[in-house]
Amino acid sequence: MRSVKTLISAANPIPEQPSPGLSGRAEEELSALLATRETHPAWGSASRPQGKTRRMRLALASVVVAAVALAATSTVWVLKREARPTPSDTSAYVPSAAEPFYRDTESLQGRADIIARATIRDTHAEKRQGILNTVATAEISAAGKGSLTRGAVVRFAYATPGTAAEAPTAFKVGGEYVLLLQERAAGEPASLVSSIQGYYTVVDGRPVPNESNPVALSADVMKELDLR
Amino acid sequence: MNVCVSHTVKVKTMGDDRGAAGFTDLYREHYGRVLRFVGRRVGLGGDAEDATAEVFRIAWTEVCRGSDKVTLAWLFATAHNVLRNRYRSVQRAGRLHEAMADDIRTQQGTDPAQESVRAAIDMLREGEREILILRYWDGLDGREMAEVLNVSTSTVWVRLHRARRAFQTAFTKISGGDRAFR
Repeated sequence: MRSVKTLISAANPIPEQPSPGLSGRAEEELSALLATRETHPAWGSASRPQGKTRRMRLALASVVVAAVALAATSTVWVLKREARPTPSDTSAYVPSAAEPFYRDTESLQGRADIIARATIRDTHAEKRQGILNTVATAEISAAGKGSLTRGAVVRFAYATPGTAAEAPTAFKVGGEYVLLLQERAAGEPASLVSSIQGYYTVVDGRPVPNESNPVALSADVMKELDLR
Repeated sequence: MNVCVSHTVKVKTMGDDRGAAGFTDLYREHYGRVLRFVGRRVGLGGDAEDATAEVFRIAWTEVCRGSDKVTLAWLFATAHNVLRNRYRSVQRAGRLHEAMADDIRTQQGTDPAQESVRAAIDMLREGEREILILRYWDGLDGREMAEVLNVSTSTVWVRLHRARRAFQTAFTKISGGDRAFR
């Protein structure tokens, strides 16, 4: 008898270990960060030297420290904006960190094995290992990527709405969608590349993304799928 | 010291050296842990060191602003976001293994059983893969995983349960139908 924990833990490519201390590079980066504190606006006057000594030290340090600090703080500002969403960012899009998020068309479409315009013919619930999924069957009317062609049928599974934190819209039988799918093992239904970004509803020949999906389809795919 | 215990920097008086000392302690205590967290996703090397440096630069700015939220879990969450921005998404384990292959062979040799486990992980959905790695490779507890994933702890345990089931199914396929799990 094996446990999942034992199996996965044993396969850890980089196990935890007592720290041998910082590398030379890490030490240098720590010193560089600490060197920026005198020019950082958040630091108070208590850290600043006074009088002539202060002026001399400032003069000597200003060329090096100011340049480093300016570059570092500017970089940090940019990186921080990228790394931690601000409230305004999250109001525009609130991805779950567990759900892949694609920032541009290339990465979104690149992740899909199949991109197709299709009509949902059937949906039914399937429970596997206690997890409730919906499996949809869709008939492809146009393909933008992958081996499937017009007339082919594809099955894909997704978390049934209401049963998971991340679940796509309830696909409607008869509804037309652009699907971005990842293929699974043979015989298994495909899956959406993302429950938010993995489909577009086709309305009057136009692909309408989920309201939280800011990424558009490429012109090539639009053309292949005969979309406006 | 238990490295799983979060370490909060005391930054109430950032105008003196105490804030810098607190940050220095945090840096020295957790740099390795953050580096390994990143390394498991992009392989150890220059990329991992670059991303780790980025995480601590962001942490330093937070500390300088007087924030007291810089904990180990916060560092992991920031590392997670840095990697997501750098690599668009956490890489599939298979692609990840390409980057880490040399590291793994160097450190552990080639073990067919472990390769099967990694292949099973590779078959999972990204969210399933990530939560298993957070739990069993990174060793995060429920609260830390919740902070990294920006969800509630109850959601974390539900997802972990589902991910474990998905892994069992995938591993059973790969290992030829042996379902002896507990």
